Amino acid sequence: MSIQPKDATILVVEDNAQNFVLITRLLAFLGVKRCEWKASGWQVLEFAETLPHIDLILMDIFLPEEDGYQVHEKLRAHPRFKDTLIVAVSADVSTENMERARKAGFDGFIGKPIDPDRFPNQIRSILQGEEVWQLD
Amino acid sequence: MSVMAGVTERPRIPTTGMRGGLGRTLLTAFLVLAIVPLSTMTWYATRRERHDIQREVTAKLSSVATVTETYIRRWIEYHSGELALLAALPDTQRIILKLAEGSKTAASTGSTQEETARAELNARLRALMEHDTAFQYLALLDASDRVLASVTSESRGDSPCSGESGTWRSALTVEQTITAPEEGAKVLAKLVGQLDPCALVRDVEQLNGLGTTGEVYLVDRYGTILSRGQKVSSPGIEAALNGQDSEGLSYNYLGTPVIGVYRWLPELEVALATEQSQEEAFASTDNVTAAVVAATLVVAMVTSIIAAVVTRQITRPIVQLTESALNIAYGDMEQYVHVRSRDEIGILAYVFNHMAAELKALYDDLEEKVAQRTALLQKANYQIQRRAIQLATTVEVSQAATSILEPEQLLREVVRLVQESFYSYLYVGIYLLDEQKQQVVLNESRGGSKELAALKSRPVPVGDSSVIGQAALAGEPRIVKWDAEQAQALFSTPFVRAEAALPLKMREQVIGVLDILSTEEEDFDADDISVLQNVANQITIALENARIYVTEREAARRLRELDRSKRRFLVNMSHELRTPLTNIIGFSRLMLKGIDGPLNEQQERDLHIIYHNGQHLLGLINDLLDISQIEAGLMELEFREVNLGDLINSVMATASALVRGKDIELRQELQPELPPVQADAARLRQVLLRLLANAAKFTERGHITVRSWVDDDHVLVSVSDTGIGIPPEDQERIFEQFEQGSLENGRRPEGAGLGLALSKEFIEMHGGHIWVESQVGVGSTFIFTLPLRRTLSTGGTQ
Repeated sequence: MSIQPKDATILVVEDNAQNFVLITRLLAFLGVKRCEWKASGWQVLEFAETLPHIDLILMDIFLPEEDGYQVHEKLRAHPRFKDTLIVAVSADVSTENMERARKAGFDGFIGKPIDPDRFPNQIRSILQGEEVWQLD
Repeated sequence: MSVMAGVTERPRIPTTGMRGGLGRTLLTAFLVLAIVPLSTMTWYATRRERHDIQREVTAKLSSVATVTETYIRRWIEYHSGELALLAALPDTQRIILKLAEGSKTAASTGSTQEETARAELNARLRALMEHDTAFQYLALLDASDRVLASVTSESRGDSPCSGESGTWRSALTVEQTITAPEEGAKVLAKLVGQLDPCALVRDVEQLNGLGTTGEVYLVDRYGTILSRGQKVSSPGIEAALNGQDSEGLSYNYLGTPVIGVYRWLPELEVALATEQSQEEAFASTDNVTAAVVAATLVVAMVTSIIAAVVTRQITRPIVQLTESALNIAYGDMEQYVHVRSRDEIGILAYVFNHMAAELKALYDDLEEKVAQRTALLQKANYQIQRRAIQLATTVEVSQAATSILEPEQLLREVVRLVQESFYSYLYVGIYLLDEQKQQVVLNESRGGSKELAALKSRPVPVGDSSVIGQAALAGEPRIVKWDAEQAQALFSTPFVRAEAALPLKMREQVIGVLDILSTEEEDFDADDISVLQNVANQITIALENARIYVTEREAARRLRELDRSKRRFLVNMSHELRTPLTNIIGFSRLMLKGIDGPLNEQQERDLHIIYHNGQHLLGLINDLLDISQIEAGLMELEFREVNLGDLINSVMATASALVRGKDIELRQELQPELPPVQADAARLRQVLLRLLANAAKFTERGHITVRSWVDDDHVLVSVSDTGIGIPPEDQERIFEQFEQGSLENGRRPEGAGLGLALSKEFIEMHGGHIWVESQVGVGSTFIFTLPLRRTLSTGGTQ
């Protein structure tokens, strides 16, 4: 279940364009070549279905339209994304929120603002099948 | 029971049981009276009879015993006589003498003369035996008792009649001595005869004449009945065997009760018993007893019937009387008892009926009097009650005034209370002055018809001719009385008789009018008006209170709204400020990492400045937001059980980055097994990190030590450094907002002093304290406490 960053396709659901740019830059630094962007919670599933392959979804929680939990629920209900890695990326860095994400069925949690020093390693770990639950 | 028919709803009176009881008692008395003397007399007569019969029978038995005794003696004498007769015969004498001579001379037996004499004697003895069958054995003995001749009966032998007593046997042996005629009294020989005891016994037992059960028998000294060889024992026989004659009631050898007479015959050594069974003897008395018992039963039966009839005769009217008396007791005065008899019970019934009628009359009279008195009393009480109700209404209005804060609800309740306090208050309304102060407007009303309500709902100009207008103008109560016609015209009901209008006055200003319509002309006297004015004043105060309450509630609502917007603002601020800043930090870091390509030295230095200032600004904004939230009372801590050791370990790991490049050793001295504390882990971590960051900031070399230990009911945590130290005058000031240590040494440390102020807030919200102990040039130790059992938290909840 270990995926090399260069082979990975990652979908970033993030409403802030600059955050997305920062994330993609860091992912590129890590070696990720295929990175897709969805800028709201609207029709994420429909968008994801158009992609031939997804290894990891980085999901913001505060999103316009539907929030991260609703989107996550819809994705999980679809047989294709039942087991896809979905990691919450949230500015709400309370333990409560993290526990909620864990209960909802997310595969990991990364607190915002993302730390450029650590983020690449966090993603690498996740792709290698390790769990990452970090508030800061 | 017919009397009871009309009052079935009352508890059933158990008269049936009562009637039965009285009847039974009387019946029993009758029976006892009839049977007891009869029984006593019967018993006594029977007893006398038995006694007489016993005496008579005893006398009869006694004479039979005497006769028998005599008979026995005679019997023996008779047979003795027979023997004497034989002996007296000259032939016999001659033969005997011859035989006696022969025996005397020598033992020369076989002389022919002797043989002949013997044969002759034998023949004579045999003849005697045949003549007198009572002899069993006859013998001739010489002077020395040798048997010269003997004859024995065939029947001789052991028979039960012989008994065991030798005396009895010898008594039945008779002898006749034979003397020589010439030699005077010299005994030559003896003629001996033994009598058959059975013959005697048989004769004795046949001697009777004592009815079918009479018996005579002989008992030898060992208690054996001679004719049967059977042992017998009874008190009479025992006494006789002891030599005493006795008589009386006893039992015979079969155990049958008998009357007996017992004699001891000493010369025969036998007891003579004469007995007759009691059954036979007393047969006559038994018949008498049976007759008497039968008679008693008949008498009892007849008595019962008579008693039943008489009892019924007596008790029926009594039961009727009782039922009627009970009905009166239950309050039913309409009682009449029908008893026709002219005896005492008839008189009693008559008197009872009379008494019942009297009682009813008295009762009715009493009820009427009670009604009159009650009416008087009610009248007298009316005024008192009226005052009491008015007072109660005043109190209730005043309670409503203090407890109800909604003006509409208050007026509704007050109007209800006033209208319900008196049934004569047809209608109650409250008018309030409108904003132009030109008219009063109905705000709340109660009672009356729809038409009345419609008529009353019109606004009333202040100072118009109505009582309401007048009262509003003058600020004084106004009363008017109406007749039916006026009432019909004004209020479309003929029942209104009086109207009162009472001003609602607030500091001499009329703010409204309390209007009351009553059906009673006298309802509004001076006292009433005084009380109602009091109620009106209460209403005024309550209205004022309610108005103030509404105003304040509005103010409170606005304040809450303000709080909400403040919180929203803070959250938005936080987001709005942080989003661009995190981008500045993120991207500058991205560049510093060389992701966007290599940097020259100058670019890298400049980027560092951007990055660090960004970080600093972010920290400042975070602190500022925390402080604002605390001050707005919006900060809420999340208390959970926290393992202090784990928390310190994780903070130390982060802190190691703070001292990178400095000659500082990080130390950790924790008491083993620190107990868990109730705390907000994130905030506690923040405090510890700040203290460590401060220590690292002001220390160039040496060590920074974190300690933790338990003291009483607190856990203490300290952070010590070997830095520049804080002068005493600054040691309290540093915990205030935007204050830092003294700047006299010329160094200005980076950053504003929000950190310690925030730490102080957080620790105090945990119920703990924070302070510093320091010596300039040696180092500082920051210490904070956490209660082991959390007791208070300011400004936040869980």
